Amino acid sequence: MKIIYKTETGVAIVIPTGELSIEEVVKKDVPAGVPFKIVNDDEVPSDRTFRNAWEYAE
Amino acid sequence: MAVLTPTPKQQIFNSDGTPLVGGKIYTYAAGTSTPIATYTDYSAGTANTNPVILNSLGQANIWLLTSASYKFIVKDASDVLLYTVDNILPPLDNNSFSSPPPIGNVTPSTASFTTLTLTATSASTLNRGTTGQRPGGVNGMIRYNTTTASMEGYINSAWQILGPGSVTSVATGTGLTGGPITSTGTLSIDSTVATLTGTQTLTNKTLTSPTLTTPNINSAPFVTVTGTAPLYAARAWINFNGIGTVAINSSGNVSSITDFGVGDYSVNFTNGMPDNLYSVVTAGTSTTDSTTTNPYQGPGLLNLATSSFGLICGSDTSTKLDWLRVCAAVFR
Repeated sequence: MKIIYKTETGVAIVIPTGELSIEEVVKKDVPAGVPFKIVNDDEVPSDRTFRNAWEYAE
Repeated sequence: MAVLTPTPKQQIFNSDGTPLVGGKIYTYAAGTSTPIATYTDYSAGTANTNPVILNSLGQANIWLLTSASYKFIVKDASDVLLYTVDNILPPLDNNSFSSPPPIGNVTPSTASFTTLTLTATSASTLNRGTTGQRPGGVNGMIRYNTTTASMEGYINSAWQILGPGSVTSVATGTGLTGGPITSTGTLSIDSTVATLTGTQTLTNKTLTSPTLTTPNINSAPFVTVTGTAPLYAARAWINFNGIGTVAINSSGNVSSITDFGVGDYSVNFTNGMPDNLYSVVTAGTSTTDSTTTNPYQGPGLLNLATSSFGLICGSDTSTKLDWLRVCAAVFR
């Protein structure tokens, strides 16, 4: 599971280590008030050729 | 050893030596005029008349209680006083000890035995008294102290509490340093004299400045250090792959990394640092493990905060680049 949220320049992807639950990671590592999504690992592209061009779909 | 038999029957004589036929023995509690009974046999089941009337031989069966002392007034058949004997005590025999034993209660008040065996499943009461009522101590004495509410014994020329209970004092010596304890106290163990052996379990204890010699943590040997320079352990660390599917290889005290884009990451602490003055030691592998790869720039450090810090990985030019391996360790 990963967490994605929109930044001023694109999309941030939060990769948890497993020390905390996904809910705790959201609460702690996602900026407050910023919309986010929890996605499966395979929903994040492995091809990072255009990583900086990724967009956050509302 | 043998002893003389007691008089099996009481026989009283007149002054002329003839049996006191029909004579009378009045029985009272010693020193009083209160009549008390005597008995016709050992069982004390049948009381004699009072007075006891002597038979044609001047005899009577007169059995006394071992728990009482008596006064006898002897008169002839015409109630003429012959004599009075006060403070008559029955002799002790084996059966006298059946219940209750008179030792320490009536007479004698002290007694010495080679050994004493108490066989009942009940209990016996030892001497009781306050601390101030302690006798002059003799090693081996035991008593119940009503001041400290504990059994105590005179051991090695001092009164000491016996058995479990609240420790109120610790005798010095044999490696122990102590003294009177009121509500709290300190017990010190001189390691040059006494050594704790075996496995010791300390639960929720605070160890102040302990010296640990070759300790194990979770069965793993802890570091071996030499010299007196202090040892600092990493407060957090991480090893992650930034190429393709970003993945964390291993970590400690890191809740997550945030991938902001190519070569741009933040490391988020599970438990935050006390301030942002910590040191981060970084290293990494750019795109391959090849030794022929040109040197790359990074991992660089930015945005140190108590909750996270940023890492930037670069190419051999001025652009950011995803790295195969990014490592960081935090010290504070």
